[in-house]
Amino acid sequence: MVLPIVLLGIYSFKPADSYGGVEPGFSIEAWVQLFFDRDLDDTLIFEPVYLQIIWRSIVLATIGTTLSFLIGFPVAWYIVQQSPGTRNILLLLITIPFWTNLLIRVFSWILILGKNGMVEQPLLAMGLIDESLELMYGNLAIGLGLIYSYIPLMILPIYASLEKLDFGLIEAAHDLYANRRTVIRCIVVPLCAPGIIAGCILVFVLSLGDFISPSVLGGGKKMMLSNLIQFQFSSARNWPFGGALTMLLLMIVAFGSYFYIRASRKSADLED
Amino acid sequence: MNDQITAITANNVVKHYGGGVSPIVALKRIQVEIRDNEFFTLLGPSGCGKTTLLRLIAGFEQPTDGEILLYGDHLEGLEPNDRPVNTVFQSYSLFPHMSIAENIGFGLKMKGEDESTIDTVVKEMLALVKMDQFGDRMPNQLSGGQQQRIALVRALAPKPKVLLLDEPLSALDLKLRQSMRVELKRLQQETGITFVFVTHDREEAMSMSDRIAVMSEGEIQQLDKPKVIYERPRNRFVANFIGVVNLVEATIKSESDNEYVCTHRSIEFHVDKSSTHQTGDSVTLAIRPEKFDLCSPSDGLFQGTITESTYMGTDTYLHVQVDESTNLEVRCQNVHLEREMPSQGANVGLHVAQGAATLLED
Repeated sequence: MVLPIVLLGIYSFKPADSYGGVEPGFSIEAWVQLFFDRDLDDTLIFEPVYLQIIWRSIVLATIGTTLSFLIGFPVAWYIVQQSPGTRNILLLLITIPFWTNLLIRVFSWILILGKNGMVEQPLLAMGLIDESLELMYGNLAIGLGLIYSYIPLMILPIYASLEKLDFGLIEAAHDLYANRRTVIRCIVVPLCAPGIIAGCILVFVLSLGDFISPSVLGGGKKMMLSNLIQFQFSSARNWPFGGALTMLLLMIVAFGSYFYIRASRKSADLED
Repeated sequence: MNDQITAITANNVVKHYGGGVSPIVALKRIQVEIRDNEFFTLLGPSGCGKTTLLRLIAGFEQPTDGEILLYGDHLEGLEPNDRPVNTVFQSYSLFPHMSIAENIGFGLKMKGEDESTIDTVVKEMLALVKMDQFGDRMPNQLSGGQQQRIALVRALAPKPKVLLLDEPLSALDLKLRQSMRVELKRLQQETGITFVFVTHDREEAMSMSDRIAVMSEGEIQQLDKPKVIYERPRNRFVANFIGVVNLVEATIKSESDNEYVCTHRSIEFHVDKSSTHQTGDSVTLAIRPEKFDLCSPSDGLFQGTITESTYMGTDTYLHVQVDESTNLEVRCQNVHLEREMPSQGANVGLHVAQGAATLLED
């Protein structure tokens, strides 16, 4: 598993071949390309376009994660309060997205959001809008696609933490004059921090690396980091650059994982 | 003339779980008044409804019917966080992610008190249980007994009108339990707050309570001072639950203004009169094991043979067969070291003072 990543790391430090692939030798050209363009006379001009793409990917992944949490937490909370039989049914329903192939899931959003799709048709028929809302092929569509794909991965870890929660603590808090909102804020959320953090990291990392949603729902117009990497290995035939971008993605993911491990260790101490 | 203030009144309280044709009846019909500044205990076996009643007072459940009043105010419909009543839980339920000081101060914080007030009260509470240095520790660093004391003062800190205690001592070992009983009694007297204590342990109930309500199957069987419950149990259940007891079948031979004369195989007993019986009725008499005195067979009311003799340190327990169907349990104090207790197989006589027998209503 590690070998492909190591290979990519090595490739990022090699000069590119004209036809794709790499030439022997050492070059930091790929890394330079992240930040700079070479002018005709080989001077370096700062080129922000790749950084913009990376930044947009991070922002979109963060927004997707936040929204997944805001939707996912109440869902997990609701499920954990049902009877065991109902809980199992609901959890099964949550995993339905995973029963279908990822591509089909994402493509189905075109049917929903696209011109004359499920959203637009009734609105057009009722005369509420005159022309297409252009919901497709934008950040909104990509965001929805990402959330739909990954929200089970937010709900399930949070549910697992909530299940282990001692509900006697909630009674004790109410007994001591806390209202519902305060109980959730001061007791429930701090005590299921491991589940929340796990869910957020999972959704964030997967959203960042997902290149299907941006490709299909973004229509190729919005370039994400994931598409960019894929592009390097297909059309652009710039493997070293693809390698450099991959290393960068890896570093972002490693950063996030480090924080997760630290935070979950802290919470684990509390549970002893 | 009773000019006592009533802290809690439960009027015809009923609690069913699950609706439909056959719900689970947790409380059949509870009618009880708990007095101000009283150490009141709900005593009974598992499933008798004592914890259910406590939870109804706390607000974690609502009664199916009936009303609950706190110093005259109706509590039905009010959430736990709106009731000036606090609970000490069986498993303590200390917040694991907060320090001891934060735990104790939680109730006051929720009520909106300012930080300096909270600080003062927290220090007071820690001093009350002699744990002054423990404010910064976390719950998982404390022993069971320490956690229990913190749970106690956490519930006392907001100065509730009534303190509810749900079997708080059951997780502690014997010695700790015994010292905590003394401390709880002292705290109740010092603070003047009404304590409603739930337990299945009859010794606990007897040693701490001003009054005990013995419960079984969703009903209060008897409500009185510990001494009355022990010496004059109302029925078979209370007699058996509150201690070892001998049940003797008898017939009412005659009655007068304040007593019945009952006979068991020509032995006469004078017992206090209750209104539900008349001459000729078959009744059950209860006699506690310590009420017997050993004597020579010719002097005793009962004569019999010792079938078992167990040395228990402070007492010797004897089983005496007085006839084919009656085997009496007798408890004799080991007062004189030199005087040997009669051993198995010996014939003895048993004397019982008049007034020692109680007629059970059953």
